[in-house]
Amino acid sequence: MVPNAIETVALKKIYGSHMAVNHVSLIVRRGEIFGFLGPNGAGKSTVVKMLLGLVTPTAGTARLLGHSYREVSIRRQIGYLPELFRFPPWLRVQEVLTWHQKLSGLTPNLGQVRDILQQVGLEGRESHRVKSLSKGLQQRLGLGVALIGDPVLLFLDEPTSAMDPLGRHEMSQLFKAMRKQGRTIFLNSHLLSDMEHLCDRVALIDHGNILYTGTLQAALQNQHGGYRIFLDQLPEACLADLSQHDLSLHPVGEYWHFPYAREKLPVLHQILAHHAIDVYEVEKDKKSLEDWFLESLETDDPVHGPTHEPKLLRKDERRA
Amino acid sequence: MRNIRLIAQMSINEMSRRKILPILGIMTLGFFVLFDFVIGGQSSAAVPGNPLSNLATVVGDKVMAAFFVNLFIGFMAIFIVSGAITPEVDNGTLLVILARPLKRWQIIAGKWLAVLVMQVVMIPILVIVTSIIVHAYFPHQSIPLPALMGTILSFLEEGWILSLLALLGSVFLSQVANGIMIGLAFIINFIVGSMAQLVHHSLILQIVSPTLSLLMPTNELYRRALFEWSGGISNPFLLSALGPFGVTHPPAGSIAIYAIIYTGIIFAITCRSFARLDV
Repeated sequence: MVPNAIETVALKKIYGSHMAVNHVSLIVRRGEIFGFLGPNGAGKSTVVKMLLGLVTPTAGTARLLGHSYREVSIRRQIGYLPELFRFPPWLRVQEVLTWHQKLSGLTPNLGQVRDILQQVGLEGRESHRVKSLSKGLQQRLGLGVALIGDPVLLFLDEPTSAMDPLGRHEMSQLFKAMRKQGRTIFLNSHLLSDMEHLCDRVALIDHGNILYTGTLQAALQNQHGGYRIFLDQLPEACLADLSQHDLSLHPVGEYWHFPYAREKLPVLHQILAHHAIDVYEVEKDKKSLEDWFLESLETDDPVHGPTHEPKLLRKDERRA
Repeated sequence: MRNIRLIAQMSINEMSRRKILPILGIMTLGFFVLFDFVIGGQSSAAVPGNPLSNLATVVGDKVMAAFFVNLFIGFMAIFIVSGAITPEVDNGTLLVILARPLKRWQIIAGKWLAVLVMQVVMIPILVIVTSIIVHAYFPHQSIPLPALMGTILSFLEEGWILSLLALLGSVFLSQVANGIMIGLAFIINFIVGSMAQLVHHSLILQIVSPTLSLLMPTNELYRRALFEWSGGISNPFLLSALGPFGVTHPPAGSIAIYAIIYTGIIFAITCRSFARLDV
């Protein structure tokens, strides 16, 4: 059986008196794009850095591609794009890539360098110096460096934060293509639109705690958003009548929001009919990803979802 | 070894691109020209029938040259090495490197190796060219090869220790804080060592000076280098007439062995500290 791409068990990091990451347990399967969502300072980057051996966990353990995260050699199969990084500004684009090929223990391969540059949209810029590249282009170069050695697992920390919409679209296509090739992508981001379109599953983290793990569809399905009622006008008498039935309607742009369950719709219908109000359309109010994200963080209460509590198996247990 | 070499190459490349190497080369050349000019003037004023007077002149010049080498070593540690780790962690340069399959001690070794290479090239050039200039104007004041080698070794060990201490400091401190700390420790060590040349009856000084020498043996290595370079025990001026700038109590030759052990310990501490650093 092919081991999971990432398995973490109760990862914890404390800086002084600050709990940065608290008992994070995750499973990321091979070949999926896994989104790691959370506000700034939630602990996303710390988790990634612990997995890459850049930060020592206070407690807990992790396995990457079936190996301990402490094994230096496993990094040959891993690519990493940090949120903040810098390449020596005097180096040329091609030199950056060949130098990282050497650091990965590979023989410099200009063919692979050209392929990577084409993938990240930097073809023709081989001889450009890093200092001459815009921030977005440097981020593309960072992604190119992460792709050196054909990694099967990629950690991308805010990979498109400096890119324009076109660049983000191109990178989305690239990530999807990489998923098709069977690579696993661990995507750290607070760009919800990217997450929504790309990720097979997500985890939501805040104050170091995992609040949710699962698909975004499942998260949004569980959210009741009420109904959108399209009508012309709503007299005060009608609103008072609704209030007597412990109901309300709230104006939102072109429609009125009815924040109740389906069972309350007949009552609403009766009251509106009583006041001779024409209803043109009624539709389910789907909550956006942003609504879900904000509400999950505001409640500060773990959203019930298919959160995994994985247990690291010994070799013999895995075989069994 | 390959990874160490790669890090060292990149560090040397960086020193070159940042114009550190050309500036060092130009300033060293400037020193040689000035030194030659001054020595030339002294030789024309030399007293042919008074070899002791000429010896005093040459020893004075060598003390100045040794002081220049000492500053060269100090500047190299303060301005080049003191920013080797923390600033590169802060600006993200090391993040992309540390995610590669290489061990952290290899980064320390590579960065240190780059400085060692520079010192191995520059310090012998400084000592040998200065000695040649002296010999050109005062042919009877040549230095025997073993003494020359001893001088170079002592200066090199001083440079290795100072750069390694700066590297250790750079794991914990910002470049400025580390530079100030290393610079002041270097100067304090030198001043205390110089005072100990003058004052022999101060009990406190006789305790503080050896303790400092154990903790940071740069001053002892400098005095040893100066002692070797100036003719050693046969030179009366060095031992008595130069006051704080002389060598009244020459450090034993075993200081070289102590320096090697000290270097090994500090290297191990630096590697361990960096391995534990959260980046």
